[in-house]
Amino acid sequence: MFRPAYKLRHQKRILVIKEKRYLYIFLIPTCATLAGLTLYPTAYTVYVSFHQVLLTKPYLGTPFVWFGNYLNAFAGFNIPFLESLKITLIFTFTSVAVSLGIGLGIALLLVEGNIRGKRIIQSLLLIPMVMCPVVVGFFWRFMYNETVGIIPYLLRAIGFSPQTILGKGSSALVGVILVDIWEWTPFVAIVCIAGLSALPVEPFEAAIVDGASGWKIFRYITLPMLRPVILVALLFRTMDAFRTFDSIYIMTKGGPGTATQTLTLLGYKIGFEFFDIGTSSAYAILMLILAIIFGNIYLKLIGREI
Amino acid sequence: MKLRSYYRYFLLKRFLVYFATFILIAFFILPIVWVLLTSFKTRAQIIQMPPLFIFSPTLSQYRQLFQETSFAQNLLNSLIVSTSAALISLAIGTLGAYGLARFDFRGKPNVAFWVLSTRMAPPFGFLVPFYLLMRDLHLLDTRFSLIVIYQVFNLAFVIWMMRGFFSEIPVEIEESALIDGCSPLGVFYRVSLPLVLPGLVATFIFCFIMSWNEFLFAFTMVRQTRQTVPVGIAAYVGLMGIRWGQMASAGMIATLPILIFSFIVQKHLVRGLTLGAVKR
Repeated sequence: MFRPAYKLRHQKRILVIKEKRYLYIFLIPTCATLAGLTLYPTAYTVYVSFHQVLLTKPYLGTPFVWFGNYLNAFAGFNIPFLESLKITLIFTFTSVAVSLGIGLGIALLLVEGNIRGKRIIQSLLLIPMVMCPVVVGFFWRFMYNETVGIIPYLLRAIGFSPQTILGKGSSALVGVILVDIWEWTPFVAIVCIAGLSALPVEPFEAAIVDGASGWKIFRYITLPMLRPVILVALLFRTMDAFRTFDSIYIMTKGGPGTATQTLTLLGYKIGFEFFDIGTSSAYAILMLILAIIFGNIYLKLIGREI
Repeated sequence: MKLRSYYRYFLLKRFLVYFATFILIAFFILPIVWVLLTSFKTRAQIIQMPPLFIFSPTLSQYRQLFQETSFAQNLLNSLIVSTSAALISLAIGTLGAYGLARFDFRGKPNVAFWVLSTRMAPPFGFLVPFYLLMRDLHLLDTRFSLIVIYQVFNLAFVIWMMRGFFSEIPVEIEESALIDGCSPLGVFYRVSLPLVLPGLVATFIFCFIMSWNEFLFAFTMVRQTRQTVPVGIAAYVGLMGIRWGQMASAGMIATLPILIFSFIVQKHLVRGLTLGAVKR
């Protein structure tokens, strides 16, 4: 007798295939690879974070220190972790906020403003964000340079005369943030353009018929309808800004002193210049926890049905 | 009279819009143009203050780059590593993506979150485990080690992107193939994959770009001979100061394939970068 090996379900977009083994065939390669490559390092890092591992003093062994490495981050005087946390928060917040504003502005200009050559502009906009961050770091280091850089020259022409940009604490942080903004605003812009283009026309037509002004339309129709898109851009940008390493490392390596030492740079420095692997791993776990909190917010706010 | 003032108001707004757009776009493009110009100058011209805008271009920097450094070797390494890593993660990830898209099973949100978390972890956290692993396997300073490590970053992308592409294919097509007696694997291979080919290409390009641009792990794992392009460029921080001309030309050459690829994949860019959360 003919017995179908499957069942059709018209409600969901899912095939229901009775033989479980097909599910395994599809999922095992991926899950095995991911498990091996992510679970093992994570477990190892967690394990190391509970020990004191100083590669420069191997004679000390690797004693178990409970949460000692974690407490290092918050207790004691002269705590680089909190300082770096502050710098990371400044960096992330400023970069995300400004790039959100400018990106949204660009999107509005291109989509609402009816510019000719929108396609070409969009293609050009791609460039900063697909470039290698190392290359971006070098390009801007070149432009910031006191002797050969074009930016000090322009600033002098306007009236400021900076001695150095990346060499002084406050201006180094500003410089680094500016580069991050330069590199990633196109991302926000392109995401917002996509979202803006997908908005339905009818609410806008209704508003215009009702006599709403441009600003009112923006505030009460455009912005609320763009909310999910903006949130996506916001959260991805935040997660990535939080982890930025390459460009900052190339430009300042942590800045004059610790002026641009974000958490990522601090963790790298502790682990690979001081070779204090235990503390570095603890910092990595702390950062991961922070990032997971962000990720949870993302999944909840977007409400994705998996 | 009223008409004329309306007209002027309209013109002013138009002008402002174009002007603002021009300024913004210039902000993003000019740095690259400036470095592009720099790459065609001689050493003396680069150092010149005030900066030189009009000069006769020369290829000397590019020539020096290929003659004096191992940049050509870096390009080859990057090419091999990026292509292989992208192909492998495509192969592994597409299978899993199909499973996620077409099957229902317990713990599905967990898998999704797990995939997302690979994008959230700080980079330096995984350096030590991988370094020790590669050292014990005597795989340090090989391209293979990088190809393996890049799977971590790429798989998340591949799974999410391909899942989105697969869920856009109507189930009915696959169901009809099943009815006609095709095995589920056959359906995947003969029906779903061909339909999703543009998505495959786009995802491949994404993975390629990500692997090409990756710095930290390449910098840590590969020191002597198999350096990729970003690591090679970072090596220009010499003791006597940075050789700006070569840096500029190297940067331009490193960026070129990425630019070409990203123009090709423009349409899917938004979907890829936001892991499918925003679709055009």
